[in-house]
This record gives sequence, structure tokens and C-alpha cells, in this order.
Amino acid sequence: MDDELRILAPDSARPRVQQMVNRRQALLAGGGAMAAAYLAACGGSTGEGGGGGSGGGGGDDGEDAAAKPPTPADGDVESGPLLIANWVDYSDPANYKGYRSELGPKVSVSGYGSNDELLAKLRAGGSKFDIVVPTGYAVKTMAELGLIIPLTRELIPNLANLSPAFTKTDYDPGNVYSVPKNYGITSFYWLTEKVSEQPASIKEVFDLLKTPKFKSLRVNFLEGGTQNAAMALAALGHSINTEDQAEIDSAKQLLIDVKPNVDTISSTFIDRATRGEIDFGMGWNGDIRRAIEALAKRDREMVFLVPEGNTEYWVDNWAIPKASEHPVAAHKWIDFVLDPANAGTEMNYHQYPVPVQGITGVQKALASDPVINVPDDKIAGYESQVETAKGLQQRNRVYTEFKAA
Amino acid sequence: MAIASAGREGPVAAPRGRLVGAVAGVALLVAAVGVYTQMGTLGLSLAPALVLLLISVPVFLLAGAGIRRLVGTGEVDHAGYPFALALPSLAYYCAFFLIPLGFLILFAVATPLGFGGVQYGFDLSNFRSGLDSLYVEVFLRTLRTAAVGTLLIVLVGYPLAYWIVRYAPENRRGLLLALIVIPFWTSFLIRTYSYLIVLSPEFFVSDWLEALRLTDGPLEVLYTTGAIQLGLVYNYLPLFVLPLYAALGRMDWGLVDAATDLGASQWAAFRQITLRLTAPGLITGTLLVFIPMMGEYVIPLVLGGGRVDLIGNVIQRLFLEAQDYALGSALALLVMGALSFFVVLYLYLSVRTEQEYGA
Repeated sequence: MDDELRILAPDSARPRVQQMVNRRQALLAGGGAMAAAYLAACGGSTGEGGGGGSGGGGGDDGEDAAAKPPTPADGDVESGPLLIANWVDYSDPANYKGYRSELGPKVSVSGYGSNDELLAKLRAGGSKFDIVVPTGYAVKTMAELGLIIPLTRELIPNLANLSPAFTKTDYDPGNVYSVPKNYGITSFYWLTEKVSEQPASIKEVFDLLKTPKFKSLRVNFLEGGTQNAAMALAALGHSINTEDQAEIDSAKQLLIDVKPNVDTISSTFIDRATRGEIDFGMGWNGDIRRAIEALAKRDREMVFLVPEGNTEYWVDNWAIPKASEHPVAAHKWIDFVLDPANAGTEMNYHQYPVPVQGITGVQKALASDPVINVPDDKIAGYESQVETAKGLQQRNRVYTEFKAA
Repeated sequence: MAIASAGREGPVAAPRGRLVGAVAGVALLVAAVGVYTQMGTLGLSLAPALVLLLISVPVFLLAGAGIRRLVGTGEVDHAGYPFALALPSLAYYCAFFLIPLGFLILFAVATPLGFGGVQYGFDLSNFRSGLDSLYVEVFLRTLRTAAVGTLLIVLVGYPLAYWIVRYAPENRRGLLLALIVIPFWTSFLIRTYSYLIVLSPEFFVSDWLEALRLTDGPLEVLYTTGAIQLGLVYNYLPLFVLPLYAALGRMDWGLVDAATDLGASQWAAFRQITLRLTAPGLITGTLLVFIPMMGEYVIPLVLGGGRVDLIGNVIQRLFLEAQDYALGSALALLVMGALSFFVVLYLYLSVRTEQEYGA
């Protein structure tokens, strides 16, 4: 059978038949017209989009304004909104309001739960954050990857208030990319009514966790390969930054050994801890202090261990991503929180030590609390984390095996 | 009288034409993935990238029509519907499914450079790492969890659907179906978190269970694998009930009456008539529920307390925390391959059942 279609129809039907036959061509032609329209529209809009998105700063080449650090000459505070990506519950909303009334831009806040998540978000692009809060090792990684910009010191006169020890951190000496926000330590806490023992170091904590008594207690660990591996390595007396496979394997084995007594692995545990639903857990001193205070009001005692020997101490920093559209406003935010009064407000809120000299307004109990004000000789024995690609893979592997156990 | 004729250009023998068309289609896809890979290096922001992706839909449309034109497959369109009408959805499918799949394959054979960077190439070592005993163990555990979850859903969902079709009053059926489907309109995450409250030892459900002596002490299921199973059943039940309801509704219940008239017991009639005739619907529902369960990662984190890892969690962590896109893609493809086996099984079973029982 040949491929030809023969239609027998009266003459008057000729136009309609021709129409039917040509409909297929029309469909394709229509599609082609649509595609052409898309291309034309697209070409136009990307041109406009590129020019319009330059944001604050100067006017010469719109695209690069966000990439070049702003100078005081073109440093008018943009109208905002200032988009801050922060850890959850980590800055006082009163400071957001104070910034707005003093400088103008509205502050909009987005949350994340780990440095890896923040790194992934910055790499993926999409949201244009103006301020991010990476931990020390993440600052180094982000600076190397070009994800954050060097700071313009003229826009941050209050930088002079920073404690001298924090102007020469090993991840960012000279505060080129970041300004310390607060620092803290990772350790363990427990309810004294459930746990009568008093371990004095991370090693003793892990020995305790292996005892059968802990099967019936509610134990919580933090999420993340880097955190868990760091604690296990500290318990075994190794450096938390080691890349030696044998040491990492021994840390993994330790974690697997205590896994049967670990009930939950979650970094969003603070509500539960505050309600007293966790008997023993891993946490950061500022967060735990809040839980301790809340429980004390209900006559329940929780203690936080400031360990002998090694543990992880970390510094969280303010940094400005390269994709920021309001870099001047971002610099002004950093300047704002370095003011002694505002720094005091921050410290009262998240209860971590803030390295600002002459800080004012801090509650007395907070200022003298040993959980927060870790003595220098103990800090000298602690390590802060350094992240490398290989180390990250090793720790992720340890974490996956820990979770699969 | 007039004779009009419409012909297709250059008729080519049908099988060879289809082969040429297929090769042209695959070549086009490879070219598209290649172009998109390079676009990634331009660092476009979201809006222009999305627009460029959307353009690919009409481009594929035109290309598909063009290929068809050139090749002239010589097939007769059945029932008067020209094949050209299928091209838009094919184009959409290409742009939003096949191209991302192409990316996944590209990442899976690339070499990871750390912190999310990859070196494009042809490196199969990711698959070897993916087949490591650790991941196989997690996959098997996921398989077990999903199988148990599916079984529980069948045990809960089948009687539910059966009751709605057979015993519920006709005018209430819509309402009952709505009651099942409406929770499904809430976000998945919110439903899971709400279940956190339901299973909490401080909620009234726990108090009632304790009062009824079904548990000694407050409800302890939260943050265990039991909670994960319950969460899976709760979240995926509507997906199972709906196709099953459709299959049961389509069945001719007169056959069951005839069977009982001829002396079969209720149970025999159910087993031999209802169960067999609705088998395709049952299989569809089971697969519709089993396959998403295999990829589940939210429920273990929220209801399981993060203690247990399913394969979805492992892949998510590889992408978002370890930023090892190569290994993550390889694992994802391996899991997809394993699940395809089940899909093939479904196709085989349903075709066979339809041939035998004509339902």
C-alpha cells in the first residue's frame, strides 16, 4: 500500500479539505513561531536582567558592583533588605530592629543547620545572601573558593573594638575575610538526676557511654561527620584534624561501639533538652547554658562539662558573600554588632562569649559563668577545626558507617 | 468533485526509519546535555538559567517534528490522532527528565575533585565505591523497611478501599475519598512533623493506649524504627488507596454474586474473583507506594531521630554535606537500576494478569 491519501469529495469541500491537510504544517509552523518568540524575548530580558541587577555601589559596570568590595566613596548604604543567613536563633531580633532604626534597611533572616549546608547553598547560587555566619574552618574554605569577599576596613571603624587575640586567628589572620562573632566549645551535658558520675574529659565521657546503664538513658549526639569524628578523636587523644587513616578508623570504631546507647542524632535538640527530654548529650556551651537556665527554673539540674584535655573550640564569624547585592549595608551590619552595647545585647541572647573589648550590658550571671568564660589555660589545650577535601570525605564516611551501625 | 491527496515525504522502510529516528533523538539529547554542561560554567543566576531550560521544550518539539519529517516513518496514525500532538509532552519530558538524568550520568562517571567540583571524564570507580558493602547494607535495610511498610499499607489500605466500594453508601463515597485525600494536600514535611506530635508520649493517644492497657507506660515508639514504619504507612496510604479504589470500582460485582449463588463461600469468592480481577490495581498501588518509600529520607530524620540511615539519607548527605556529587550520582543510578527491576516485574505481572483475566 502506497503512502498517498486520496480523498473523494465535492468541489465545495475543497477549501476545507485543504485546510485539514495543511493543519499539520500549521502546527509545526506555530511551534516554530513560538520558539522564535521565546528566543527573542529571552535575548531581550537577559540583557535587561544583567543591567538591572547591579544593586548598590557605584554605577560603572553593573555586573561587577557586587563582586568588587565597596569603597567609602560609593558607600551609601543601600535600601536593602539586608539578607542574613544565620544559624537558627543565633542573633537577637532586637538588634535587627536596632539596625533598621539606625541605618534604614530592613533585615531578613534565613536559617541553616551546618557549615556544609551553607557551603552547598553558596556554591549552588540562587539566594543572594548579604551576610553569612561560617565557622572558622569554613571561612578558609570559602575564601579559597572565592565565595566571600575581602572586607573593606574603612566601612567598619568598630573593628578596633575586637579583642586582640581574635585579630590573628589561624584561619583568617588579620581579619581579611571575616570578623569573629562569638566563640564556643563542643562538649557534653547531662541531667544530674539521671547521671551521678562526673566525667572530667571527653575520654571519660565515651568510657561512660559504653556502660550498660546508658541503654535506658536518652542520649543525643549532634549531626554531622565533622562533629562526631572530632569528639571521638579527642576521646582517643588524637588531633581532631588528623587525616591518618588508622586514627580515623579507631575513631569510627569508638563511635560504633557507643552507637547502641545513642538514641537520637539531631542538631535541633535544644527544645527537647530545655524540656528535660534528653538525659545525656553532645552540645555547644551557649545553647546548653540556655537549657540549664530553663531547667533550673523548674528545679532540675543540668551540667555542662568544660573538659580537661582536648575538645573542639570554634569561632563563628560574620562574612560577606561575593553574590551579595548590598555589600555596604552588610559592612555596616558588622560595624553595628561590634559596638559594645549591641555586642552585649547579642551575648545576652545567644549566651556565647563575644570577643568585643569593653562590652557592656551583659548579665552578671552570664559574665561570670564558667561554662561560658572558659579559662585561657583550658582553651590552650583545645583545637579548632581545619577542613580539607580529603578530611571531609573521610569524616563523611565515618559518619555514614556510624549511622549504619 | 475534487480529489485532494496528502502524502508523506520520501517513504523509508519502517524499521530502518525508526532506527535512524532513534539515533537522531539520542544524538540530540547528548548534544543538549553537552550544551547545558557548558552553560553551568557560565554561572547564570536562577532566572536566565530557567528561561534557557524552558526554551529547550519548543526546541525539542521542533527537533522531534523535524526528525519525524525527515525520516518519514511510514506508520499510519491510528484513530485519526496525529503523532505530532504527542510531541509537546515528549519535549517536556526530554527537557525536565532526560536532561537532568543525563547530568546524573555525567556526574556518575566523572572524577570528584572535592568540595563539589568534578572533572568530566569516564571514570567507573564511583560505581565500584557505590557497590561497597556499607552501601549495600544500607540499601538492603531500606529494602526491608520499604517492604514491611508496603505490606502494612496493603493490609490497612485494601480493607479500607474494599469497604468504601462495597459497603459505604453510594452518596458518601465522595466524602470518604476526600477525607483520605485532603491530608495529602498538606506539605509532606508538615504531615511528618504532625505525626511527631501524635506519637509523642505527652499526647492523648499515648494516654489512651496506656489506659486501655495496650502499652505499659507512656508510648515509647518515637525515635525508633517502629516510628519510621508508622510514618511511612501514614504518609503513603492515599497513594495506595486511590488506584485500588479505581480497580475495585471497575470490577463487575455481579460476578461475585454469581459465584456465591453457585455455591462458593464468601472467602472463596473473594479469593478467586475479587482478588484476581483487581490484581493489576493492587500491583499498581503497591509499586506506587514501594518505589517512593525506597527513596525516603525525611521520615528517618524526623520520626526516627536521625538514628537510622536509609539509602535516601546516604545519597542526600553525599550531595549536601560531603559534596561528593560523583559518588552520590553513582549511588543514585545504582538504586534506580535496582528499582527498575521491580518496575519490569510489574510490567510483566500486569500484562500477564490482563491477558489471563482481561481486567
